[in-house]
Amino acid sequence: MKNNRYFLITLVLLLALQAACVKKQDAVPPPVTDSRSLISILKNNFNFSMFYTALQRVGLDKTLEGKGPYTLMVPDNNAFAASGINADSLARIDTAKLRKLLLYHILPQSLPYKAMPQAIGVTFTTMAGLPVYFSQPVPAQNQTQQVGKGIVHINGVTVNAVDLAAGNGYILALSKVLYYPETSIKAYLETRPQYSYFVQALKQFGLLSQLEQPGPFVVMAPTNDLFMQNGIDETVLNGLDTLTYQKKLFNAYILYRQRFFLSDLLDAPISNALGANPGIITPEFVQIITPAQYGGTGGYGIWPLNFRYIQDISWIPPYGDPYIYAPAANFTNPDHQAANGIVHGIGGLVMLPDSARIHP
Amino acid sequence: MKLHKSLFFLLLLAVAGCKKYDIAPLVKDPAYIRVFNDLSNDIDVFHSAQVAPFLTFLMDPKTDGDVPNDAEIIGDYMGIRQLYSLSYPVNEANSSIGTGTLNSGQPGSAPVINLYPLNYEYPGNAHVLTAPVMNGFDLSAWAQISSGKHRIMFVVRPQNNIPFKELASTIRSRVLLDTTVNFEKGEVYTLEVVSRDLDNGKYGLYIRHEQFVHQAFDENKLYIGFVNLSGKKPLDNQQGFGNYIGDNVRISTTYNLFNDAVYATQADVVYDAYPEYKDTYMTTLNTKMDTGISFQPLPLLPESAFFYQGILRSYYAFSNNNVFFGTLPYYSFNLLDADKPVTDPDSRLGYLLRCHRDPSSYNNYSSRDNNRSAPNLNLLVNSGNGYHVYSTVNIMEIVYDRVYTMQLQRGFNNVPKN
Repeated sequence: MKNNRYFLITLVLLLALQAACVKKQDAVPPPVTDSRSLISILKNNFNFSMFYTALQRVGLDKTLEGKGPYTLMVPDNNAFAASGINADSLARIDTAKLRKLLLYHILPQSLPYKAMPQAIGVTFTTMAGLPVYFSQPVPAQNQTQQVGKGIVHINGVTVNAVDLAAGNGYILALSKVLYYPETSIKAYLETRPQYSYFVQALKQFGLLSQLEQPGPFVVMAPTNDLFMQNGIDETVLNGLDTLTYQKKLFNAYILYRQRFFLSDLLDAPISNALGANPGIITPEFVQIITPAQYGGTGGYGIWPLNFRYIQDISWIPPYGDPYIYAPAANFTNPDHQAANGIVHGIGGLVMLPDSARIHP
Repeated sequence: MKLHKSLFFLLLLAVAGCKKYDIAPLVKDPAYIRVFNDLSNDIDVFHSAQVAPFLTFLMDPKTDGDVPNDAEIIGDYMGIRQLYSLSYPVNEANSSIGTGTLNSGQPGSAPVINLYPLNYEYPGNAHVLTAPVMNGFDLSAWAQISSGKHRIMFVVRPQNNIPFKELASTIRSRVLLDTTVNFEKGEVYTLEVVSRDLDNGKYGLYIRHEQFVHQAFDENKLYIGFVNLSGKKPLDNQQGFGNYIGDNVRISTTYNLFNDAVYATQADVVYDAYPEYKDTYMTTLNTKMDTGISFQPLPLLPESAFFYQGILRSYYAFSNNNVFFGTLPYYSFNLLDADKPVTDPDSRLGYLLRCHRDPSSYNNYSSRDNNRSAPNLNLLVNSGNGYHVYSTVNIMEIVYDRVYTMQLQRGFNNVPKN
């Protein structure tokens, strides 16, 4: 009986010690990777059928069976629909043009999410030879998105899914089709009839030819309708010249040495804190970009350089509103890319002729 | 009986085989380091070329070509340092899911919660061997390293939860700083990543060989030393936006004592200045990145000044737009841009830094809320069956638009004699 007790005590002690021991973790099984090629993933996924059909048409499906690695930025069928492209219109696109567009959706490298820098406008060169611009939300005091949570924008287009792994690369699922960039902002504006008044105005003020230069520029473009709504028809437009009006009348629409998509205003929000820099200060005015983080789309407008004095006025019109040239305009048709910058269509004139008249 | 013997033998084996903790090997001839990230710039569309302030600290890195992939010491997820840091780690086991910082500048004042790891410094919450008590100061916020030459590297990393070693090599190749530093045996060093010129993307490592372990400090005095760690004045500030404390900073101090009589009779909040400490000139910082701190003594008031009718006085506090003016005596420092002409000496206003906040809650607020304030320099401690007031030694580091307070505290074994 006595022996039994010792036996039990020993057993209990032994158990206690065992429980207290440091245990090594079991071997972690290696992650399962998809060894199929990119093209077979596209082929077997109905959501990517339009992109797959297009690849087949231009013969790129053979290329993507190769060793790679490649990263495909694939707009799914909904993304084509969201960009106003259906199967019919896709089939009608000229083959050479389609090939260029599709090559613009392929990176000749492996690009998992962990290899994308957390920054704004990081370039990766596509197989079309032109860069695409990657942006991720960056940490900042005004940041309202979750940083580091897989939010990525390519050329302002939201990426729905990252890290779809294949044997020879990755697929990024896009929510819209990437547009093949125009050769220059000048070319973009000149080939769009809705901007013919704006183009004529830029020409008359000697601002158009620079938009062929490398830049980069951001141009806020108002349509002809907006000119008409403000009483500027062709006759009035022909009469606008640099003898009677200051150059700032149309310089106000050009942001120099900038390149940003609308989503970048969300990914790197401009501080609206008191005393922070509200925009771009030029010798003529301050170009104000309203932050987009509070549900709105953001806006663009012009303040005079002495806006601080106006903001301090509280008892006489304009009641401290520094938009003295014209109200701020919304972004109505953003993110049109050219090789030397970006054109954002805006919903108003931000400088009216009377504000820029040269007084004799 | 045989069974018992074999069981005992097994037990012995188990005792010998067990290992509850990995004991870190002792460091021979150690030096002591502490590392901060002082980059506080916000990235926005207009400043997207600047470095986002999130880093990995590497000591003695192993590289694959030029790209670091491992190191002897990795201080990962290094965010912007806290405005108030002590000489021992205050958040030692508590920063793994980031901050619950209250940010009243944001709509709804919701706490900022980061779902990725965030360290405010190295060693911070890393479990490493630390410095012993030196010159009466608890220096456990400094980590032991072997003395001698070490290669120090900082890499800009994305703010996500991927550990450094698993980041893609293109990301790991974004090296911000790469330098070699000689650390002497038994000495204390503070390393800070600073920006020298934000507009042109120039960054540097500021190394301070701490002298406070060799200096004599009177226990009945407060000490304060300022240093300017700002880089070149940014373009935005030159155009009048944002706050920039100055290239040359003239510093004066006021010791504010709450006037109980006026408050009792007229309900007005009035502070009187302690005699000879009313906007009293202290020093002018004409250089930046000074590696020596010149400490200046300030009086420590008798303990009775911190109580009113036997009850401890209060700290300044605010909640939901209500401000509670504290009644504790506090120092304020006027940091005046010495390059600006002073027309009226009475009304001159610079960056008025009020040291009147509660140290225990101060770091819960964002830098925007803590603008122009710092914890009270008089340290109130519940020791020896009551509140007592201890003196502190403070290093105030001016970085662009903010002032970081590094407070060195003595042991609380003895009740102070003030």
